[in-house]
Amino acid sequence: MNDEIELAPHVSEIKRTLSNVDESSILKELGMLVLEYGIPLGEAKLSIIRKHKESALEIDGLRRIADLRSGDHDVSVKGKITFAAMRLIMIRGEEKKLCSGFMADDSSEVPFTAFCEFDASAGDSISAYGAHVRLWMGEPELVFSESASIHKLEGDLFPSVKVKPRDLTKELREFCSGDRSVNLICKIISLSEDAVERRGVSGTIFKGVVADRTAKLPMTVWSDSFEFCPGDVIQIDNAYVHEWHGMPTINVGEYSDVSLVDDPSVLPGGSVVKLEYMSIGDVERRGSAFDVLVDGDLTSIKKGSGLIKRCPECGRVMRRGTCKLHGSVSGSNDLRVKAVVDDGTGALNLVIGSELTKYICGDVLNDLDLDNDAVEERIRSRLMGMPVRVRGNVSRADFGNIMVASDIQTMKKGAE
Amino acid sequence: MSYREVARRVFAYEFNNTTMQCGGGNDTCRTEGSHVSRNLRSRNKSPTFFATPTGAVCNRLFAVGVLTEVDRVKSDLEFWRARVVDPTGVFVCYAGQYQPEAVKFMLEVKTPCFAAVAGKMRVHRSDEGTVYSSLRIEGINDVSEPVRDRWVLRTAEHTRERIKCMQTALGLGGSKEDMIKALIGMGYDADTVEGVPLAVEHYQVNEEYLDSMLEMVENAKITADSSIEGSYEPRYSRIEVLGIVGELQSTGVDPSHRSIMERAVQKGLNELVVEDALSELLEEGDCYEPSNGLYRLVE
Repeated sequence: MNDEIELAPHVSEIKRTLSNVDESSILKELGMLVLEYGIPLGEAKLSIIRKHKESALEIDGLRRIADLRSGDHDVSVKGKITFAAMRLIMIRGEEKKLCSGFMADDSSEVPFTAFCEFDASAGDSISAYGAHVRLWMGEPELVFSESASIHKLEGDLFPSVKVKPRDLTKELREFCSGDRSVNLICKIISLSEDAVERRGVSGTIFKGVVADRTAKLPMTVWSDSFEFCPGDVIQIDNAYVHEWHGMPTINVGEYSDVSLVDDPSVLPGGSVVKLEYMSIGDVERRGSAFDVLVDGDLTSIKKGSGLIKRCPECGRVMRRGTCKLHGSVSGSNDLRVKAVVDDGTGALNLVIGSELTKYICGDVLNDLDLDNDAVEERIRSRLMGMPVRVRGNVSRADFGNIMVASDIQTMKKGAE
Repeated sequence: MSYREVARRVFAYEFNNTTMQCGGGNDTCRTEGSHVSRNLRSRNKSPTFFATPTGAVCNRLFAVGVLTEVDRVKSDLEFWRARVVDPTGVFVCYAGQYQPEAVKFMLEVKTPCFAAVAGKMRVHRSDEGTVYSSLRIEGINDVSEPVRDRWVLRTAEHTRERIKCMQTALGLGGSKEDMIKALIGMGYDADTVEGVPLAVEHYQVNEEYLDSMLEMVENAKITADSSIEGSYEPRYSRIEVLGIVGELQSTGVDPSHRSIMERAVQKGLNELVVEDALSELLEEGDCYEPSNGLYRLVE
């Protein structure tokens, strides 16, 4: 009796894949394999699915790839892998091996990601059960989660599907979060080691900035050794792009290949992007931008500028002495300006940190016994309407794009 | 995702000759990719826009001029009026009880002075058919003369760019959609193009009219002293890095690239910014490099 209860969830899981087989016979088979023969549960489940899959397919019917829609689940498909690349990602501090690529049948091609065991490569024909379809970067993507099963098939079942080499090389400006298996040639601008904790073990990774002729982007190398230095031109194959703090970040993982490019003229255009003024309209159209310069006017100094208290635990701005996460804590003082910078082609929310605020507001904030309102008023009367040239990163947020200033200059306030 | 309405740059002459409302539930201006179309889509809101004679589609404006007068609107004592004058005319601006900061500024300000104002555009048609443009103030502040001069030069640039686009459009003819398609094909962005066919039709724009607008722009520029570069404060990074080199030098530490970078990063500066500041200091002769990777102040 106890055994039945223990097996029940697995039976219903198998049942989801094999809808034509009734549960009692699944239970009987599973019980036999696990209890009598002592086969590990996972292997036993796969064996039952394998045994029944052909008949299951006849009932469920195969889905044509062209008919896949996001939201579909328990999908069975047959197709040919046209591209596959492995990558290692971090999910909640755990490393996870994934395979992403494309598969096609006679009707169409679809991107896929496998979270389960996957040993097929480009050119192989496979059949898969228990997959689902999600929306990925606006397109349907086939997902093989851990409960899905994939079988390599003998021979070429889709001779009409040709496996062509793909040009996955992109320039940095075209990179967006979610890109994977991309290749790039770039120059390392800066690089430093960073301590991280992975699976509870502390280790190191490398963080840096890379550039080509179109843009600069941050890069993270998930490895404790990286034998390149700033100034090197490198080719990275099979990198993936992940959004980090609203900014696309190039990730170089265990399955990425990095090689030194001896001839720097291989870098398209020969040189890297120069820091030049960019119109805010262009920044907005791009959505996020790393290390750019804009020249505009402060058309609004927002409420919440001036003295603020930050939670000592998480650094969040506190309201009325409470942190959203940590409740009532005694916060530490900070100073900032929240403004809008606008150049007539676009507008960005601008955040100016305490050191830069002190610099551009200068003497007007030197009065020690100013209260919050007085500080906000002085900031407004110093900065409202003033031209500014700001350098910084622009990230995408739900309530508009935010630029965080890393450097700033403004006009003198007085007529002198 | 919401976008903030851009504050357009328009001279007072053009502002006061604006009679065309679009948006506000009226679908006349919706060019794919423009601010107007993104806002209509993302917020399901239909803010009011006005198309100016050179085709700027504005909801919000930013202007800098001379604040000549501040007075109370007689019929409504809670309402204040300010006149901000640029080289081509006047922006009549209003602020009421919902703009307490603007009202406070108006109560304290001594006229005349240079002032910057950001606000929402309004166009009011009187019973006799006369059209009045005004700004509802969102922010107002006193500024210096170079700030005004810079605004005049920028506004001249923006206006000329719109006129250039209009001149191109006049040569094209065809339907509204064809015109927009052709202009975008020539590399104009959606925001610039959007108001063009509307303005061409509504204001009956022809070559002559555009020439007179160009003349207005040229005359406006005469007022502006174009050497505004010297009115900028130095960049933050430049002052900070210079300070760090001096500080290290005076405490007997060699201001090497490494020690400067360490100190700067400690102070919250970004590495890329420090790198550029250092090469700028060398280039402009504030620092020199006695040996590779070592910096010294030029006394």
